[in-house]
Amino acid sequence: MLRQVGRRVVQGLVTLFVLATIVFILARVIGNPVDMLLPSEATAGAREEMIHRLRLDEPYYVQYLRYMGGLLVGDLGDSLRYQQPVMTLFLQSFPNTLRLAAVAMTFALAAGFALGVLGATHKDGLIDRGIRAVTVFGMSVPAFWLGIMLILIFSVKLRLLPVARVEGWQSYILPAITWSMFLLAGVARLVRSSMIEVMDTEYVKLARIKGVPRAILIWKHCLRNALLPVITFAGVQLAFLLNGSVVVEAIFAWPGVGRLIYSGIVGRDYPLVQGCLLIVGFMIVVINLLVDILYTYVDPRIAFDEAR
Amino acid sequence: MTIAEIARPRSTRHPKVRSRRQGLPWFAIIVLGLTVFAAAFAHLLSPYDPNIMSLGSRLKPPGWIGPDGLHLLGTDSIGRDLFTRICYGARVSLLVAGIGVVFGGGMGLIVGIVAGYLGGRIDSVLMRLTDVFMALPSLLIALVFVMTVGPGLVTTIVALSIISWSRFARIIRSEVLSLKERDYVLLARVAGCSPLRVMAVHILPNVTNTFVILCSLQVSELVLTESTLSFLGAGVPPPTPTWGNMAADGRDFLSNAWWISVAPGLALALVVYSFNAFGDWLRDKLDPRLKQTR
Repeated sequence: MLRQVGRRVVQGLVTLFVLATIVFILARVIGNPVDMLLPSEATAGAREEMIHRLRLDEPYYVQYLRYMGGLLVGDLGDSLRYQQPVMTLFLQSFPNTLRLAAVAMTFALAAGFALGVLGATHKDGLIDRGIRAVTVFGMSVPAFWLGIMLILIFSVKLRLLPVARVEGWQSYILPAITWSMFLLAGVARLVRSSMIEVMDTEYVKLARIKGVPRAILIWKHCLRNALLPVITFAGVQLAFLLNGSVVVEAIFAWPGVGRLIYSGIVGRDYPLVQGCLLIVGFMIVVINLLVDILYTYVDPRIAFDEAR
Repeated sequence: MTIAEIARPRSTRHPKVRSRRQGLPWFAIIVLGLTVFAAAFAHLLSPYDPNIMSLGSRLKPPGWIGPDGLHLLGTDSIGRDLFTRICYGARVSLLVAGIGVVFGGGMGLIVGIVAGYLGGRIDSVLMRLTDVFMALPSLLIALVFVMTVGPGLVTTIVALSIISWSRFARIIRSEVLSLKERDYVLLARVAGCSPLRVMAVHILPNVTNTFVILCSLQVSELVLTESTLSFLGAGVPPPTPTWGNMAADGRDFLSNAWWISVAPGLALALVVYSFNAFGDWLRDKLDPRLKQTR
């Protein structure tokens, strides 16, 4: 067991190393930071000075070592626009994203479970068809458009909810719905199909024959066994969720990591975006690692390497 | 319960069997057919130019609402006809996503076959690389790439290829792992085929099914990503109409001209749904085992 965990940790470290190297190649070898920083009418002298100041006249391997050394102590460089370390900016906006994410994920899981169970217990009935229509919609509708439509309906036309202002719990509603729609639809579909599968098994049939009340049957016997694929799915979606954060925070002007990245894109603030990519990648790798390790402790039959 | 319902015997077929026997997804096929048609003949379908401003006809509502029905879906803030722009936008979406999926898929196909067949160190290096791309949010990778290289049509296509190859590689590799233990592959090796020949002649034809299915499932995601990039201002740059930048344009006019954002988004949702439905159907038809790969 310990050896497996050790192997997995090493794998995670290698993944991080590869990631950092890719970002370095993108930033220094393919892209040219000087062109990004200087106005196009800058003189050759100014260019020279800039190159020297950023130490871009050193050979690549020296730059690479310095960059990697910086990463080890958490130095991701400074943002061009805010003139502050990327790490500081990231840590300032991270709590906001986390709060919104918590609300959105709770909603997605709760509503997704409810709709999935309802769909499975009313299979092929009117309710099931309605729910299926909602989930199909949720899987196909682009998040940015859903956000705009919600603003149009609830903020502009009905004037029920505030637009693009963070004050009180009302401001969470629209961004959370927008953000959670895709996950909600996916969870609902998955819960429905695995519930239907479980409800067809012998032990559920036996429980039904024994006279177990329907509510207990569904919520205890079936749902618990239908859970595992859902957990796996939700875990896989972690990276995908962060896609949503950029879109949702850009639309609703939510002061989180996603908007920080968006402002970096708009302002061509190159170290900022790359730094955020690195931090996000780091977090994802670490979380995946923890989940994997957790899995082996919960269920030792799951071997790490089987999935790869 | 009505008499008709009582009279009709309840279906005794197993529900799973019934759901397997799906017909063609007609709605999806019609939507996709119309989209391809609109994209191909955009210049013939409408008398308007997608990019010429016409300040006299700014913010005209769609034809069925407004007083003059000259603009089927209305006009945007500088008087360009929205229906025309949506047709031209379809051209961009289909082109970019189509080429992107072929490039990215091809890349993933090669990586998957090589890693799976050769194994060993090459396999572990390629798989760690795949891990990185699978772990990171695809949109972020695309954004960073576009920022580094500068926005444009080709950049967008390359960005989409970069984010789509890893899934192909992962799934095709696992397919190859089982294929290479088959007798005919072993026999080919015994007969003295070079690894290159085995991969090209004996393995490749056996993963094409999977490849086609993955392509069809992946296209919808690429259409979505392309429009999201455009929406964020990092896709194909204006004035080229894309569904994403059209929806973004409409954001400032929600209170007085809602149709600018609504129309392109609806088109997008319909196309994405249709690609999803078609891909699901194709998968069930060709290879139901792949059910888990979504």
